[in-house]
Parts: sequence; structure tokens; C-alpha cells
Amino acid sequence: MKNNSHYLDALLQGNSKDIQILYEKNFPMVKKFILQNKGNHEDAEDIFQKALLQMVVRYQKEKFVIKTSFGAYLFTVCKNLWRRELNKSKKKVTNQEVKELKGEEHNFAMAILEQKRWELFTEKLALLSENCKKILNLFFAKTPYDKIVVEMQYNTETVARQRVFKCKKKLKELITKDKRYNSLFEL
Amino acid sequence: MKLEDDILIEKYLRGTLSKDELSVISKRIKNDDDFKKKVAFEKQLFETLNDDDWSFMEGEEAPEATLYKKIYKSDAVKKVKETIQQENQKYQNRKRTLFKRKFFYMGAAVIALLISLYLFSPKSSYSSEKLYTQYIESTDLPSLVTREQGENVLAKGQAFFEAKAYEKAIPIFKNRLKLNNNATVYLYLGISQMELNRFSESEKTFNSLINSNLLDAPKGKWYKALLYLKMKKIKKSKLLLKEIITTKSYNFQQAQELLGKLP
Repeated sequence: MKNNSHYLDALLQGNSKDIQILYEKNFPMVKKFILQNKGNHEDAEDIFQKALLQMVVRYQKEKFVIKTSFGAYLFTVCKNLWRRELNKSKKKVTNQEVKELKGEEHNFAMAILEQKRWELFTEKLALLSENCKKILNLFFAKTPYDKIVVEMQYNTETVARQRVFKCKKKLKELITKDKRYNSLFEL
Repeated sequence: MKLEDDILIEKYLRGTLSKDELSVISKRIKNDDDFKKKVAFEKQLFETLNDDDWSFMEGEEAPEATLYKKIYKSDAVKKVKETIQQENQKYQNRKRTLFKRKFFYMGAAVIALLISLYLFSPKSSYSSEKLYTQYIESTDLPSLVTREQGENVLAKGQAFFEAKAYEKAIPIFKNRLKLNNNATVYLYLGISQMELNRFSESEKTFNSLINSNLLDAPKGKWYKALLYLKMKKIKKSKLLLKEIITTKSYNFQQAQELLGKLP
């Protein structure tokens, strides 16, 4: 099996053979995800290309290391780019003029920074205790407190709130201590 | 941060604050930088870690953004971008061709299946029944009336037979056979039983005729072959038909024709 940096190098060099391998191995799953989430085949093609290019640009600047399998990483990049696409309308309403002025490359660069922030946040979330991970996942998925109480077998909502508060505090500490955070936080 | 502030920010981000509370928090965000930062951080957490949402960046102050933009616009990356586009096109075309080919083969398979169903339709039970009807109707039965004039009872039996009242016809034929063997009566009886789906009785009747020393005994084989056809015992029917053909027995030409229609 070829290692992750092999594919990153291959992308950087525009190696046709390896790009085809990446398509064969990963495009069907990405397409399936996008079709299941309000997208069509063209969206899948567009997102997949953007994801590959995002990795090229990022790898050109910093030799980042992929800790999961290459396929799993590529999938999360695609998934996040699609989340970004689906939520764009929300942003357009509030900031249309600014967005139009900034153009394609700005959008592209922002997607990289947002991806990096997502990586930082999820990486730190993974370091928490199983209990904290579970309750925070429920919390971020907007699960109402009464349901969190049932799911986590707490006595009251107050206990659940305190637990969320503590776990979130721990998560924020881990994030802010990481040196990557400074360049990824903005007001 | 205090728990109260945390709850307040959470309500703010979830849009569940009252008008008054909203006005208070908006003022705080405007005047208190520290609080503003906390709200921004919470918002980023909320949006990033919720699968249905996404946390956008403006990038005004991110020095990295300038570098990414520069790299994105570089000739080297433009070239890679073109290559990726070409490879995407190649991959999609290949998949489309494969899909078309698969579709073509599937279509061809369906057509082949339909043709084979049509060609080998005698294999189906429906068709063996149809063939049986066709051949039983086209085989002439000698009249019992002409052969045994004056036998009113047999004439009655034939009338019942022709009216398909086999239940009434059978006892008449059976009674007649008690007197002596008669090939035609055997046939009328066997066919009546066959029509009523009393297969084992019918087989017995035809066997009696076949094993008799009557001149018309071989006729029994032809009807027995039809009986097997009706019973969907195609193999047995074919064996008998082949026997009729090789021994040039009664109706061997029709037997040949029928054999050709069986799978």
C-alpha cells in the first residue's frame, strides 16, 4: 500500500496515474455522500476536484501529515467542503458584497483555514474522556437537555448543564493551548 | 467563564433569547471585548462541531491566507488544476462508458431471456396444457355409435362424453368394459378420466388397452403420451412419443410433430 505522502507528492506533481487511482478508490463514496445530502453528480465532481486541489495548495505551503488513511482524510475534506457549500447561502445573506469582491482564491484560502480549524477542534475533542465526548457530541448536535439527561442517565438538567460546561471548558483549554489556534481564531 | 454566561451565550447562539435579553447581550458584545471573544469562540465551536453547520472565516487578519492565495494563483498549481480537471473528465467518461456497456449487456440479457422464454415456452406448464388440448382435439376418435349400432347405452355415453359430462359417461364405459374388451371404449374411458384429472385411473385404463391383445392396442400409447403431457411429465411423454415414432405406431407422424415442440 502506498503511504499518504506518496499521494500528496503525486498530487503536487500532477501524476495522472495516481490521480486516477484516487478517483477509483474514493470518488464513489464521496459521490454517494453528496447525493444523499442534497447534491448531484456535478456537485460531487466539483467538490472532489476542489478537495484534491486544496490538498495540493496546502501541501505546497506546509508538509502536513495525514494521520488517518489517505482515503478517510480525503473524504473528510470533501465532506467539509460540501458542508461549506450547503451553508454558503447563510453567509451570502449577511455578507454578500464583501464576498463578491474577494473572489475565488480568497474563498479557496478560507476553505483551507476553516478545514484546519475543524481539524484542530476535532483533534482536541478526541482527547477528551469518552463521557465528555459523548455529551459534547449530543450538545453540538443541538440535542435538547431533557434528552441529554435521558441519554446520559443524569438526574437533572442542571447536572447535564454543569457537565456540558465542564467538558466544553476542558475542550476550550486544549484548543487555546495549541499554537495553531492563534492563526485560526478571528473575531 | 461563569456558568451563567455560558448558558446566556448558548441561548444566544441557539436563538432562544427574549427581545430584552438579546438587547442586553448585544450591548455587552459591543462594549466588552473579552465577552465578544468568548461569544466568537463559542460560535466557532458550535458551527464547526455541528455536522449540519459550518464555521466560515473572513480571513482579514490571517497571514496564512495571503500565502494560500499566492500559491493557488501560481503557474504550478494552475497546471495541477488542469491535470485534475482532465483526469476527472477521463474518469467520468470511463465510468459512463462502463455504465453504458453494463446497461447494454443488461439490456441484451433481458432480450435474450425474453427470446428464450418465447422459444422454449413449451417448457412451461401452461404450454404443455395448451399442447395437450391442441393434440387431444385434433385426434379423431371413432364413434361408438357407428361401431356398435343399436347399443343405445354406449350412444348415451358418447353423448355425455361430447357434452363433457365425463362423470356421467365414465360408469357407462366401465360397465361396457365389464362385458368385453373394446379398444374404443377404453379410449373414451381413459380420456374421460384424463379430462377429470384422474391421472392414475387414466394411466391404468390406457395401460389395460396397451397390454391387451386388441388390434387397436397401440392407440393407447398415443393417448398415454398425451396423458403424460397433461401431467407435465414431459420426459415420460417424450419417451413414449419416441417409441411410437420408432415403431411407426398409431399417429407416429403427429408424435414426431409433437416431439419437435417439446423441450
